[in-house]
Amino acid sequence: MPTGNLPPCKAAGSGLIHATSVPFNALRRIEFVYPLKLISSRPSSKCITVFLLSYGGGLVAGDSINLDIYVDPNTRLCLLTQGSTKIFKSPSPTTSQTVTTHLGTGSTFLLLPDPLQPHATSRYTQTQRFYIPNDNSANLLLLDWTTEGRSAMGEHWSLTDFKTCNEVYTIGEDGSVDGAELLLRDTLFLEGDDSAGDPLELHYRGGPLKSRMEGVTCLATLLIRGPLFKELADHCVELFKTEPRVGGRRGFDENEAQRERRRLSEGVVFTVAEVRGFVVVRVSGADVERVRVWVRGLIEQRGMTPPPEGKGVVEREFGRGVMMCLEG
Amino acid sequence: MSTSTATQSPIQLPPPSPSHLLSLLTDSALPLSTFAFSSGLESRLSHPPLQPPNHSSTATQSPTPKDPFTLPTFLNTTLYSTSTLAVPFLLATHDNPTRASELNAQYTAQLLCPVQARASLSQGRALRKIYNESILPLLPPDASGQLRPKLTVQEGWHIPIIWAYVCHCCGISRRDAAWGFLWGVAKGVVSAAVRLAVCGPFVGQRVLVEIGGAVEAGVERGIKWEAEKGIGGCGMSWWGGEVVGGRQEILYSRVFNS
Repeated sequence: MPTGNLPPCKAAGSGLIHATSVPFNALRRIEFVYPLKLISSRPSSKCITVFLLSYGGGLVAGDSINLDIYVDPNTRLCLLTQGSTKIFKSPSPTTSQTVTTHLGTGSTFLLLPDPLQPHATSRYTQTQRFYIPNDNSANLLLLDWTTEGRSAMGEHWSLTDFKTCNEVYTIGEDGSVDGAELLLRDTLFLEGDDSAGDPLELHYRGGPLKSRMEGVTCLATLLIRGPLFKELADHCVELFKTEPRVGGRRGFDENEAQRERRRLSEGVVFTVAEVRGFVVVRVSGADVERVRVWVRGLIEQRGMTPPPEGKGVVEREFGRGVMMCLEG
Repeated sequence: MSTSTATQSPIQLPPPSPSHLLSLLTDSALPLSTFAFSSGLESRLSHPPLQPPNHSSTATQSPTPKDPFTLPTFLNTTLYSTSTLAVPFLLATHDNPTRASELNAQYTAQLLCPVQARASLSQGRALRKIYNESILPLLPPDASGQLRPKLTVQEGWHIPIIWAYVCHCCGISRRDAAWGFLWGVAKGVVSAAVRLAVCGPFVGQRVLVEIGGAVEAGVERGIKWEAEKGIGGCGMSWWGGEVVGGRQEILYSRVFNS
Protein backbone atom coordinates (compact mmCIF):
# COMPACT_ATOMS: atom_id res chain seq x y z
CA MET A 1 0.00 0.00 0.00
CA PRO A 2 2.28 2.80 -1.20
CA THR A 3 0.90 6.04 0.29
CA GLY A 4 3.99 8.23 0.08
CA ASN A 5 3.38 10.09 -3.17
CA LEU A 6 -0.37 10.35 -3.50
CA PRO A 7 -1.25 13.30 -5.72
CA PRO A 8 -3.41 16.09 -4.29
CA CYS A 9 -7.13 16.04 -5.07
CA LYS A 10 -8.09 18.41 -7.84
CA ALA A 11 -11.10 17.03 -9.73
CA ALA A 12 -14.58 18.08 -8.65
CA GLY A 13 -16.01 15.68 -6.11
CA SER A 14 -12.73 13.94 -5.38
CA GLY A 15 -11.37 13.30 -1.94
CA LEU A 16 -8.60 11.56 -0.04
CA ILE A 17 -8.33 10.19 3.45
CA HIS A 18 -5.15 8.72 4.85
CA ALA A 19 -5.48 7.38 8.37
CA THR A 20 -2.58 6.23 10.49
CA SER A 21 -1.99 5.07 14.03
CA VAL A 22 1.76 5.66 14.30
CA PRO A 23 2.77 7.30 16.57
CA PHE A 24 -0.87 7.96 17.49
CA ASN A 25 -4.28 7.87 15.80
CA ALA A 26 -4.34 10.68 13.27
CA LEU A 27 -5.34 11.65 9.78
CA ARG A 28 -2.16 12.12 7.84
CA ARG A 29 -4.13 13.64 5.00
CA ILE A 30 -7.74 14.64 4.49
CA GLU A 31 -8.60 16.50 1.31
CA PHE A 32 -11.80 17.10 -0.60
CA VAL A 33 -13.13 19.13 -3.49
CA TYR A 34 -16.67 20.54 -3.84
CA PRO A 35 -19.33 19.02 -3.86
CA LEU A 36 -17.73 16.46 -1.56
CA LYS A 37 -17.19 17.46 2.04
CA LEU A 38 -15.37 15.54 4.74
CA ILE A 39 -15.38 16.39 8.43
CA SER A 40 -13.22 14.61 10.94
CA SER A 41 -13.89 14.48 14.62
CA ARG A 42 -11.00 14.50 17.05
CA PRO A 43 -9.45 11.02 16.86
CA SER A 44 -10.07 9.04 20.01
CA SER A 45 -7.87 6.28 21.34
CA LYS A 46 -10.43 3.82 19.94
CA CYS A 47 -10.66 4.97 16.35
CA ILE A 48 -10.61 7.81 13.85
CA THR A 49 -14.00 9.00 12.66
CA VAL A 50 -14.71 10.87 9.44
CA PHE A 51 -18.09 12.12 8.24
CA LEU A 52 -18.89 11.95 4.56
CA LEU A 53 -21.13 14.85 3.56
CA SER A 54 -22.28 16.54 0.45
CA TYR A 55 -23.47 20.10 0.01
CA GLY A 56 -27.22 20.30 0.40
CA GLY A 57 -27.33 16.88 1.99
CA GLY A 58 -27.61 15.05 -1.27
CA LEU A 59 -26.25 14.42 -4.71
CA VAL A 60 -27.65 16.24 -7.73
CA ALA A 61 -27.66 15.16 -11.35
CA GLY A 62 -24.21 14.55 -12.70
CA ASP A 63 -22.38 14.78 -9.37
CA SER A 64 -19.47 12.43 -9.37
CA ILE A 65 -17.93 11.69 -6.00
CA ASN A 66 -14.61 9.91 -5.99
CA LEU A 67 -13.09 9.20 -2.61
CA ASP A 68 -9.87 7.29 -1.99
CA ILE A 69 -9.14 6.02 1.46
CA TYR A 70 -5.93 4.57 2.85
CA VAL A 71 -5.98 2.88 6.22
CA ASP A 72 -2.50 2.16 7.56
CA PRO A 73 -1.66 -1.16 9.24
CA ASN A 74 -3.33 -1.65 12.63
CA THR A 75 -5.34 1.56 12.22
CA ARG A 76 -9.06 1.91 12.77
CA LEU A 77 -11.14 4.22 10.64
CA CYS A 78 -14.92 4.79 10.73
CA LEU A 79 -16.70 6.54 7.90
CA LEU A 80 -20.15 7.82 8.83
CA THR A 81 -22.74 10.24 7.50
CA GLN A 82 -25.03 12.73 9.24
CA GLY A 83 -28.33 11.89 7.58
CA SER A 84 -29.59 9.95 4.62
CA THR A 85 -27.96 10.62 1.27
CA LYS A 86 -30.65 12.03 -1.00
CA ILE A 87 -30.24 11.32 -4.65
CA PHE A 88 -32.06 14.04 -6.50
CA LYS A 89 -33.86 13.61 -9.78
CA SER A 90 -31.57 13.29 -12.72
CA PRO A 91 -33.10 13.50 -16.18
CA SER A 92 -29.98 12.51 -18.02
CA PRO A 93 -26.51 12.22 -16.48
CA THR A 94 -26.03 9.49 -13.92
CA THR A 95 -25.00 10.57 -10.45
CA SER A 96 -22.17 8.45 -9.11
CA GLN A 97 -20.23 7.85 -5.97
CA THR A 98 -17.10 5.74 -5.89
CA VAL A 99 -15.23 4.97 -2.70
CA THR A 100 -12.00 3.00 -2.95
CA THR A 101 -10.48 1.83 0.30
CA HIS A 102 -7.05 0.30 0.78
CA LEU A 103 -6.72 -1.60 4.02
CA GLY A 104 -3.36 -2.32 5.61
CA THR A 105 -2.45 -5.41 7.62
CA GLY A 106 -4.53 -5.69 10.76
CA SER A 107 -6.46 -2.52 9.97
CA THR A 108 -10.17 -1.97 10.49
CA PHE A 109 -12.68 -0.07 8.43
CA LEU A 110 -16.25 0.63 9.42
CA LEU A 111 -18.60 2.09 6.87
CA LEU A 112 -21.87 2.77 8.63
CA PRO A 113 -23.75 5.45 6.69
CA ASP A 114 -27.39 6.45 6.82
CA PRO A 115 -29.49 4.94 4.05
CA LEU A 116 -29.52 6.15 0.47
CA GLN A 117 -32.75 7.76 -0.60
CA PRO A 118 -33.17 7.72 -4.37
CA HIS A 119 -35.81 10.24 -5.41
CA ALA A 120 -38.18 9.84 -8.34
CA THR A 121 -36.46 9.73 -11.75
CA SER A 122 -32.99 9.62 -10.17
CA ARG A 123 -30.10 7.76 -11.74
CA TYR A 124 -27.38 6.57 -9.44
CA THR A 125 -24.37 4.31 -9.50
CA GLN A 126 -22.44 3.59 -6.33
CA THR A 127 -19.24 1.59 -6.30
CA GLN A 128 -17.41 0.71 -3.10
CA ARG A 129 -14.15 -1.09 -3.67
CA PHE A 130 -12.00 -2.54 -0.94
CA TYR A 131 -8.47 -3.83 -1.29
CA ILE A 132 -7.49 -6.05 1.59
CA PRO A 133 -4.26 -7.91 2.36
CA ASN A 134 -4.31 -11.62 1.58
CA ASP A 135 -3.55 -12.71 5.14
CA ASN A 136 -7.13 -12.30 6.42
CA SER A 137 -5.96 -9.79 9.01
CA ALA A 138 -8.06 -6.82 7.88
CA ASN A 139 -11.45 -6.16 9.46
CA LEU A 140 -14.40 -4.81 7.57
CA LEU A 141 -17.90 -3.89 8.63
CA LEU A 142 -20.01 -2.41 5.89
CA LEU A 143 -23.64 -1.40 5.87
CA ASP A 144 -25.19 -0.61 2.51
CA TRP A 145 -28.83 0.35 2.65
CA THR A 146 -31.46 2.07 0.61
CA THR A 147 -35.01 3.28 1.01
CA GLU A 148 -37.76 3.52 -1.57
CA GLY A 149 -37.50 7.33 -1.81
CA ARG A 150 -39.67 10.02 -0.25
CA SER A 151 -42.57 7.78 0.77
CA ALA A 152 -44.56 10.72 2.13
CA MET A 153 -44.49 12.29 -1.33
CA GLY A 154 -45.77 9.15 -2.94
CA GLU A 155 -42.39 7.94 -4.12
CA HIS A 156 -42.23 4.18 -3.98
CA TRP A 157 -39.21 2.97 -5.91
CA SER A 158 -39.94 5.65 -8.52
CA LEU A 159 -36.26 5.95 -9.46
CA THR A 160 -35.11 5.56 -13.05
CA ASP A 161 -31.93 3.60 -12.54
CA PHE A 162 -30.05 2.48 -9.46
CA LYS A 163 -26.96 0.36 -9.03
CA THR A 164 -24.83 -0.37 -6.01
CA CYS A 165 -21.74 -2.51 -6.13
CA ASN A 166 -19.48 -3.61 -3.28
CA GLU A 167 -16.31 -5.31 -4.39
CA VAL A 168 -13.58 -6.77 -2.27
CA TYR A 169 -10.21 -7.70 -3.72
CA THR A 170 -7.22 -9.32 -2.08
CA ILE A 171 -3.88 -7.84 -2.96
CA GLY A 172 -0.66 -9.82 -3.14
CA GLU A 173 2.56 -9.53 -1.16
CA ASP A 174 3.80 -6.54 -3.15
CA GLY A 175 0.68 -4.58 -2.27
CA SER A 176 -0.06 -3.65 -5.86
CA VAL A 177 -3.63 -3.25 -7.00
CA ASP A 178 -2.97 -4.53 -10.51
CA GLY A 179 -2.68 -8.19 -9.57
CA ALA A 180 -5.52 -8.03 -7.06
CA GLU A 181 -7.88 -10.98 -7.00
CA LEU A 182 -11.64 -10.57 -6.83
CA LEU A 183 -12.95 -12.10 -3.64
CA LEU A 184 -16.54 -10.93 -3.60
CA ARG A 185 -18.77 -8.72 -5.68
CA ASP A 186 -22.18 -7.76 -4.41
CA THR A 187 -24.11 -5.93 -7.09
CA LEU A 188 -27.72 -4.81 -6.97
CA PHE A 189 -29.59 -3.33 -9.89
CA LEU A 190 -32.94 -1.67 -9.53
CA GLU A 191 -34.30 -0.81 -12.92
CA GLY A 192 -37.07 1.76 -12.83
CA ASP A 193 -40.18 1.55 -14.94
CA ASP A 194 -39.30 4.41 -17.28
CA SER A 195 -36.12 2.56 -18.29
CA ALA A 196 -38.17 -0.30 -19.73
CA GLY A 197 -39.15 1.58 -22.88
CA ASP A 198 -42.24 -0.40 -23.74
CA PRO A 199 -44.92 -2.02 -21.54
CA LEU A 200 -44.08 -5.48 -22.85
CA GLU A 201 -40.50 -5.28 -21.51
CA LEU A 202 -41.91 -4.17 -18.16
CA HIS A 203 -44.22 -7.19 -18.23
CA TYR A 204 -41.28 -9.45 -19.03
CA ARG A 205 -39.39 -8.07 -16.03
CA GLY A 206 -42.22 -9.29 -13.83
CA GLY A 207 -44.11 -5.99 -13.58
CA PRO A 208 -43.34 -2.49 -12.28
CA LEU A 209 -40.41 -2.15 -9.87
CA LYS A 210 -42.73 -1.31 -6.96
CA SER A 211 -44.68 -4.52 -7.37
CA ARG A 212 -41.45 -6.51 -7.88
CA MET A 213 -40.31 -5.20 -4.49
CA GLU A 214 -43.33 -6.90 -2.87
CA GLY A 215 -43.88 -4.53 0.04
CA VAL A 216 -40.18 -3.94 0.78
CA THR A 217 -39.55 -0.23 1.33
CA CYS A 218 -36.07 -0.49 2.81
CA LEU A 219 -33.34 -2.97 2.05
CA ALA A 220 -29.98 -3.45 3.68
CA THR A 221 -26.86 -5.51 3.16
CA LEU A 222 -24.19 -5.97 5.82
CA LEU A 223 -20.79 -7.36 4.98
CA ILE A 224 -18.71 -8.55 7.92
CA ARG A 225 -15.16 -9.83 7.79
CA GLY A 226 -12.06 -10.19 9.90
CA PRO A 227 -10.88 -11.52 13.26
CA LEU A 228 -12.05 -8.47 15.21
CA PHE A 229 -15.66 -8.99 14.13
CA LYS A 230 -15.70 -12.76 14.52
CA GLU A 231 -17.96 -12.52 17.55
CA LEU A 232 -20.49 -10.45 15.58
CA ALA A 233 -20.22 -12.70 12.52
CA ASP A 234 -20.84 -15.79 14.65
CA HIS A 235 -23.81 -14.07 16.24
CA CYS A 236 -25.39 -13.40 12.84
CA VAL A 237 -24.86 -16.97 11.66
CA GLU A 238 -26.29 -18.38 14.88
CA LEU A 239 -29.28 -16.03 14.75
CA PHE A 240 -30.21 -17.28 11.30
CA LYS A 241 -29.57 -20.91 12.17
CA THR A 242 -31.89 -20.72 15.14
CA GLU A 243 -34.51 -18.63 13.36
CA PRO A 244 -37.93 -20.23 13.89
CA ARG A 245 -38.69 -22.57 11.00
CA VAL A 246 -40.92 -20.94 8.41
CA GLY A 247 -44.24 -22.74 8.31
CA GLY A 248 -43.64 -24.40 11.67
CA ARG A 249 -45.54 -23.77 14.89
CA ARG A 250 -45.00 -20.36 16.47
CA GLY A 251 -45.61 -18.83 19.83
CA PHE A 252 -45.60 -22.24 21.45
CA ASP A 253 -43.23 -22.93 24.33
CA GLU A 254 -41.41 -19.66 23.73
CA ASN A 255 -39.07 -18.28 26.34
CA GLU A 256 -38.46 -14.58 26.95
CA ALA A 257 -35.42 -14.38 24.65
CA GLN A 258 -37.35 -15.97 21.80
CA ARG A 259 -40.23 -13.57 22.34
CA GLU A 260 -37.83 -10.63 22.17
CA ARG A 261 -36.40 -11.97 18.95
CA ARG A 262 -39.84 -12.33 17.44
CA ARG A 263 -40.71 -8.75 18.39
CA LEU A 264 -37.46 -7.51 16.86
CA SER A 265 -37.96 -9.29 13.57
CA GLU A 266 -41.57 -8.21 13.09
CA GLY A 267 -41.88 -6.51 9.73
CA VAL A 268 -38.47 -7.62 8.48
CA VAL A 269 -37.23 -10.64 6.56
CA PHE A 270 -33.55 -11.51 6.63
CA THR A 271 -30.98 -14.04 5.51
CA VAL A 272 -27.44 -14.69 6.62
CA ALA A 273 -24.85 -16.41 4.46
CA GLU A 274 -21.22 -17.36 4.96
CA VAL A 275 -19.45 -16.67 1.69
CA ARG A 276 -15.70 -16.71 1.10
CA GLY A 277 -14.70 -15.59 4.58
CA PHE A 278 -17.51 -13.02 4.81
CA VAL A 279 -20.77 -13.07 6.61
CA VAL A 280 -23.38 -11.45 4.39
CA VAL A 281 -26.61 -10.31 6.01
CA ARG A 282 -29.52 -9.14 3.91
CA VAL A 283 -32.59 -7.52 5.40
CA SER A 284 -35.84 -6.44 3.81
CA GLY A 285 -38.21 -4.25 5.76
CA ALA A 286 -41.72 -2.90 5.43
CA ASP A 287 -40.42 0.43 6.69
CA VAL A 288 -37.07 2.02 7.37
CA GLU A 289 -37.53 2.22 11.15
CA ARG A 290 -38.04 -1.52 11.44
CA VAL A 291 -34.85 -2.13 9.50
CA ARG A 292 -33.00 0.44 11.61
CA VAL A 293 -34.11 -1.20 14.84
CA TRP A 294 -33.37 -4.67 13.57
CA VAL A 295 -29.87 -3.84 12.31
CA ARG A 296 -29.09 -2.08 15.58
CA GLY A 297 -30.25 -5.15 17.47
CA LEU A 298 -28.01 -7.28 15.26
CA ILE A 299 -24.92 -5.10 15.75
CA GLU A 300 -25.63 -4.96 19.48
CA GLN A 301 -25.79 -8.78 19.32
CA ARG A 302 -29.21 -8.94 20.93
CA GLY A 303 -31.63 -11.83 20.92
CA MET A 304 -29.07 -14.55 21.71
CA THR A 305 -26.62 -15.29 24.49
CA PRO A 306 -25.68 -11.88 25.92
CA PRO A 307 -22.21 -10.75 24.79
CA PRO A 308 -19.41 -9.91 27.31
CA GLU A 309 -20.25 -6.86 29.50
CA GLY A 310 -23.68 -6.93 27.83
CA LYS A 311 -22.28 -5.01 24.87
CA GLY A 312 -21.62 -6.14 21.34
CA VAL A 313 -18.10 -6.14 19.97
CA VAL A 314 -18.69 -2.97 17.93
CA GLU A 315 -19.78 -0.98 20.97
CA ARG A 316 -16.92 -2.36 23.11
CA GLU A 317 -14.26 -1.61 20.53
CA PHE A 318 -15.53 1.63 18.97
CA GLY A 319 -18.16 3.10 21.29
CA ARG A 320 -21.82 3.79 20.65
CA GLY A 321 -21.03 6.83 18.48
CA VAL A 322 -20.26 4.77 15.41
CA MET A 323 -23.80 3.43 15.42
CA MET A 324 -25.41 6.85 15.09
CA CYS A 325 -27.00 5.98 11.76
CA LEU A 326 -29.02 3.34 13.61
CA GLU A 327 -30.24 5.60 16.39
CA GLY A 328 -33.30 6.81 14.48
CA MET B 1 -24.96 -60.05 -49.35
CA SER B 2 -26.00 -57.33 -46.99
CA THR B 3 -24.60 -59.21 -43.99
CA SER B 4 -21.16 -59.47 -45.55
CA THR B 5 -20.92 -55.70 -46.36
CA ALA B 6 -21.99 -54.86 -42.85
CA THR B 7 -19.19 -56.92 -41.34
CA GLN B 8 -16.66 -55.48 -43.79
CA SER B 9 -17.19 -51.81 -42.92
CA PRO B 10 -19.17 -50.88 -39.80
CA ILE B 11 -21.61 -48.05 -40.37
CA GLN B 12 -20.25 -44.63 -39.39
CA LEU B 13 -23.00 -42.67 -37.67
CA PRO B 14 -22.97 -38.97 -38.56
CA PRO B 15 -22.32 -36.71 -35.56
CA PRO B 16 -25.48 -35.43 -33.90
CA SER B 17 -26.62 -32.04 -35.17
CA PRO B 18 -26.47 -28.99 -32.87
CA SER B 19 -30.26 -28.64 -32.89
CA HIS B 20 -30.62 -32.30 -31.92
CA LEU B 21 -28.16 -31.78 -29.06
CA LEU B 22 -29.89 -28.59 -27.92
CA SER B 23 -33.25 -30.32 -27.68
CA LEU B 24 -31.51 -33.10 -25.76
CA LEU B 25 -29.85 -30.68 -23.33
CA THR B 26 -33.13 -28.91 -22.58
CA ASP B 27 -34.88 -32.21 -21.85
CA SER B 28 -36.74 -32.16 -18.54
CA ALA B 29 -34.80 -35.20 -17.36
CA LEU B 30 -31.48 -33.37 -17.62
CA PRO B 31 -29.94 -31.24 -14.86
CA LEU B 32 -31.08 -27.76 -15.82
CA SER B 33 -34.81 -28.30 -15.76
CA THR B 34 -34.66 -31.12 -13.29
CA PHE B 35 -37.16 -31.76 -10.58
CA ALA B 36 -34.94 -31.02 -7.58
CA PHE B 37 -34.87 -27.21 -7.83
CA SER B 38 -37.64 -24.66 -7.67
CA SER B 39 -35.52 -21.48 -8.15
CA GLY B 40 -36.88 -19.98 -4.96
CA LEU B 41 -40.54 -20.79 -5.71
CA GLU B 42 -41.00 -23.05 -2.72
CA SER B 43 -39.58 -20.47 -0.32
CA ARG B 44 -41.61 -17.68 -1.94
CA LEU B 45 -44.82 -19.60 -1.31
CA SER B 46 -44.00 -19.61 2.42
CA HIS B 47 -43.15 -15.89 2.46
CA PRO B 48 -46.06 -13.61 1.68
CA PRO B 49 -45.02 -10.00 0.95
CA LEU B 50 -44.33 -7.69 3.90
CA GLN B 51 -47.32 -5.64 4.97
CA PRO B 52 -47.04 -1.93 5.69
CA PRO B 53 -46.82 -1.37 9.45
CA ASN B 54 -50.12 -0.59 11.12
CA HIS B 55 -49.50 2.67 12.93
CA SER B 56 -52.77 2.87 14.81
CA SER B 57 -52.83 -0.02 17.21
CA THR B 58 -56.50 0.54 18.06
CA ALA B 59 -57.62 0.02 14.48
CA THR B 60 -59.50 -3.18 13.99
CA GLN B 61 -57.31 -5.80 12.47
CA SER B 62 -58.11 -5.83 8.80
CA PRO B 63 -57.89 -9.25 7.27
CA THR B 64 -54.49 -10.02 5.79
CA PRO B 65 -54.60 -8.98 2.13
CA LYS B 66 -54.43 -11.73 -0.40
CA ASP B 67 -50.92 -12.63 -1.51
CA PRO B 68 -50.63 -11.21 -5.05
CA PHE B 69 -48.44 -14.13 -6.12
CA THR B 70 -49.06 -15.47 -9.61
CA LEU B 71 -46.96 -18.10 -11.35
CA PRO B 72 -46.47 -16.16 -14.63
CA THR B 73 -45.22 -13.10 -12.73
CA PHE B 74 -42.88 -15.19 -10.62
CA LEU B 75 -41.60 -16.89 -13.74
CA ASN B 76 -41.06 -13.60 -15.60
CA THR B 77 -39.13 -12.17 -12.66
CA THR B 78 -37.04 -15.34 -12.40
CA LEU B 79 -36.16 -15.13 -16.09
CA TYR B 80 -35.42 -11.42 -15.72
CA SER B 81 -33.01 -11.97 -12.85
CA THR B 82 -31.37 -14.92 -14.64
CA SER B 83 -30.81 -12.75 -17.69
CA THR B 84 -28.91 -10.08 -15.74
CA LEU B 85 -26.33 -12.36 -14.12
CA ALA B 86 -26.22 -15.98 -15.31
CA VAL B 87 -26.84 -15.29 -19.01
CA PRO B 88 -24.03 -12.71 -19.42
CA PHE B 89 -21.61 -15.19 -17.83
CA LEU B 90 -22.93 -17.92 -20.10
CA LEU B 91 -22.37 -15.76 -23.18
CA ALA B 92 -18.87 -14.76 -22.12
CA THR B 93 -17.95 -18.41 -21.54
CA HIS B 94 -19.39 -19.42 -24.89
CA ASP B 95 -17.30 -16.74 -26.60
CA ASN B 96 -14.14 -17.96 -24.96
CA PRO B 97 -14.38 -21.44 -23.41
CA THR B 98 -10.69 -21.42 -22.48
CA ARG B 99 -11.56 -18.73 -19.92
CA ALA B 100 -14.22 -20.94 -18.32
CA SER B 101 -12.31 -21.52 -15.06
CA GLU B 102 -11.55 -17.85 -14.62
CA LEU B 103 -15.15 -16.86 -15.38
CA ASN B 104 -16.36 -19.51 -12.98
CA ALA B 105 -14.22 -17.97 -10.23
CA GLN B 106 -15.75 -14.57 -10.95
CA TYR B 107 -19.25 -15.98 -11.01
CA THR B 108 -18.58 -17.64 -7.64
CA ALA B 109 -17.55 -14.23 -6.25
CA GLN B 110 -20.86 -12.75 -7.42
CA LEU B 111 -23.24 -15.49 -6.33
CA LEU B 112 -23.80 -14.61 -2.69
CA CYS B 113 -26.93 -16.65 -2.03
CA PRO B 114 -25.73 -20.04 -0.74
CA VAL B 115 -28.94 -21.80 -1.74
CA GLN B 116 -28.56 -20.67 -5.34
CA ALA B 117 -24.84 -21.43 -5.31
CA ARG B 118 -25.40 -24.95 -4.03
CA ALA B 119 -28.11 -25.66 -6.62
CA SER B 120 -26.03 -24.19 -9.41
CA LEU B 121 -22.98 -26.28 -8.47
CA SER B 122 -24.88 -29.54 -8.22
CA GLN B 123 -26.56 -28.91 -11.58
CA GLY B 124 -23.13 -28.14 -13.02
CA ARG B 125 -21.72 -31.39 -11.63
CA ALA B 126 -24.56 -33.40 -13.13
CA LEU B 127 -24.20 -31.78 -16.54
CA ARG B 128 -20.46 -32.43 -16.57
CA LYS B 129 -21.11 -36.11 -15.96
CA ILE B 130 -23.68 -36.29 -18.77
CA TYR B 131 -21.32 -34.46 -21.09
CA ASN B 132 -18.41 -36.78 -20.35
CA GLU B 133 -20.39 -40.03 -20.42
CA SER B 134 -23.08 -39.50 -23.01
CA ILE B 135 -22.33 -36.59 -25.33
CA LEU B 136 -18.55 -36.47 -25.67
CA PRO B 137 -18.06 -39.92 -27.28
CA LEU B 138 -20.25 -38.87 -30.23
CA LEU B 139 -18.79 -35.41 -30.80
CA PRO B 140 -16.67 -34.88 -33.91
CA PRO B 141 -13.08 -33.66 -33.44
CA ASP B 142 -12.67 -29.92 -32.91
CA ALA B 143 -11.52 -27.45 -35.57
CA SER B 144 -7.88 -28.48 -35.26
CA GLY B 145 -8.77 -32.14 -35.72
CA GLN B 146 -8.14 -33.03 -32.07
CA LEU B 147 -10.52 -35.27 -30.16
CA ARG B 148 -12.02 -33.31 -27.29
CA PRO B 149 -10.75 -34.39 -23.88
CA LYS B 150 -12.98 -35.37 -21.01
CA LEU B 151 -13.88 -32.38 -18.93
CA THR B 152 -12.24 -32.62 -15.54
CA VAL B 153 -12.37 -29.67 -13.22
CA GLN B 154 -10.79 -29.26 -9.83
CA GLU B 155 -13.31 -26.82 -8.48
CA GLY B 156 -17.00 -27.12 -9.19
CA TRP B 157 -18.29 -25.28 -12.21
CA HIS B 158 -21.57 -23.45 -11.97
CA ILE B 159 -24.32 -24.44 -14.37
CA PRO B 160 -24.21 -21.35 -16.68
CA ILE B 161 -20.47 -21.82 -17.17
CA ILE B 162 -20.54 -25.52 -17.96
CA TRP B 163 -23.73 -25.12 -19.98
CA ALA B 164 -21.96 -22.62 -22.22
CA TYR B 165 -18.87 -24.82 -22.44
CA VAL B 166 -20.91 -27.87 -23.45
CA CYS B 167 -23.01 -25.90 -25.94
CA HIS B 168 -19.84 -24.53 -27.50
CA CYS B 169 -18.43 -28.03 -27.90
CA CYS B 170 -21.72 -29.22 -29.39
CA GLY B 171 -21.67 -26.48 -32.03
CA ILE B 172 -24.70 -24.73 -30.53
CA SER B 173 -24.64 -20.97 -31.16
CA ARG B 174 -24.32 -18.54 -28.24
CA ARG B 175 -27.84 -17.26 -28.82
CA ASP B 176 -29.32 -20.76 -28.85
CA ALA B 177 -27.26 -21.61 -25.78
CA ALA B 178 -28.76 -18.65 -23.91
CA TRP B 179 -32.23 -19.52 -25.15
CA GLY B 180 -31.90 -23.15 -24.08
CA PHE B 181 -30.67 -22.10 -20.64
CA LEU B 182 -33.58 -19.75 -19.96
CA TRP B 183 -36.06 -22.23 -21.38
CA GLY B 184 -34.68 -24.88 -19.02
CA VAL B 185 -35.03 -22.52 -16.06
CA ALA B 186 -38.65 -21.83 -17.05
CA LYS B 187 -39.48 -25.52 -17.34
CA GLY B 188 -37.86 -26.22 -13.97
CA VAL B 189 -39.98 -23.57 -12.23
CA VAL B 190 -43.19 -24.79 -13.83
CA SER B 191 -42.54 -28.41 -13.00
CA ALA B 192 -41.85 -27.36 -9.40
CA ALA B 193 -45.09 -25.37 -9.41
CA VAL B 194 -47.05 -28.42 -10.50
CA ARG B 195 -45.32 -30.50 -7.86
CA LEU B 196 -46.16 -27.90 -5.19
CA ALA B 197 -49.80 -27.80 -6.38
CA VAL B 198 -49.58 -24.13 -7.42
CA CYS B 199 -51.29 -25.20 -10.61
CA GLY B 200 -52.30 -28.35 -12.43
CA PRO B 201 -50.37 -29.87 -15.31
CA PHE B 202 -52.60 -28.34 -18.00
CA VAL B 203 -52.31 -24.83 -16.61
CA GLY B 204 -48.57 -25.46 -16.24
CA GLN B 205 -48.32 -26.30 -19.92
CA ARG B 206 -50.30 -23.18 -20.79
CA VAL B 207 -47.89 -21.05 -18.75
CA LEU B 208 -45.03 -22.62 -20.70
CA VAL B 209 -46.77 -21.83 -24.00
CA GLU B 210 -47.15 -18.21 -22.88
CA ILE B 211 -43.59 -17.85 -21.62
CA GLY B 212 -41.94 -17.91 -25.07
CA GLY B 213 -41.82 -14.12 -25.35
CA ALA B 214 -40.26 -13.69 -21.91
CA VAL B 215 -37.58 -16.26 -22.75
CA GLU B 216 -36.75 -14.40 -25.98
CA ALA B 217 -36.71 -11.08 -24.10
CA GLY B 218 -34.36 -12.63 -21.56
CA VAL B 219 -31.97 -13.70 -24.32
CA GLU B 220 -32.02 -10.19 -25.81
CA ARG B 221 -31.50 -8.60 -22.41
CA GLY B 222 -28.63 -10.93 -21.55
CA ILE B 223 -26.90 -10.21 -24.86
CA LYS B 224 -27.36 -6.47 -24.32
CA TRP B 225 -26.11 -6.53 -20.73
CA GLU B 226 -23.07 -8.61 -21.59
CA ALA B 227 -22.17 -6.32 -24.49
CA GLU B 228 -22.82 -3.00 -22.71
CA LYS B 229 -21.84 -3.64 -19.12
CA GLY B 230 -19.44 -6.58 -19.39
CA ILE B 231 -19.69 -9.44 -16.92
CA GLY B 232 -18.14 -7.35 -14.13
CA GLY B 233 -21.00 -4.89 -14.52
CA CYS B 234 -23.77 -7.47 -14.35
CA GLY B 235 -25.42 -8.67 -11.19
CA MET B 236 -28.45 -9.31 -9.07
CA SER B 237 -31.61 -7.54 -10.16
CA TRP B 238 -34.20 -9.17 -7.94
CA TRP B 239 -33.69 -8.29 -4.30
CA GLY B 240 -36.72 -10.24 -3.05
CA GLY B 241 -35.67 -13.40 -4.84
CA GLU B 242 -32.26 -13.21 -3.19
CA VAL B 243 -33.57 -12.74 0.36
CA VAL B 244 -36.53 -15.09 0.18
CA GLY B 245 -34.60 -17.67 -1.86
CA GLY B 246 -31.92 -17.74 0.85
CA ARG B 247 -34.57 -18.61 3.43
CA GLN B 248 -35.16 -21.98 1.77
CA GLU B 249 -32.64 -23.13 4.40
CA ILE B 250 -35.04 -22.52 7.24
CA LEU B 251 -38.31 -23.80 5.82
CA TYR B 252 -40.05 -26.13 8.23
CA SER B 253 -40.49 -28.75 5.57
CA ARG B 254 -39.30 -28.67 2.01
CA VAL B 255 -39.55 -30.66 -1.16
CA PHE B 256 -36.85 -28.93 -3.20
CA ASN B 257 -33.19 -28.07 -2.76
CA SER B 258 -33.60 -24.51 -3.95
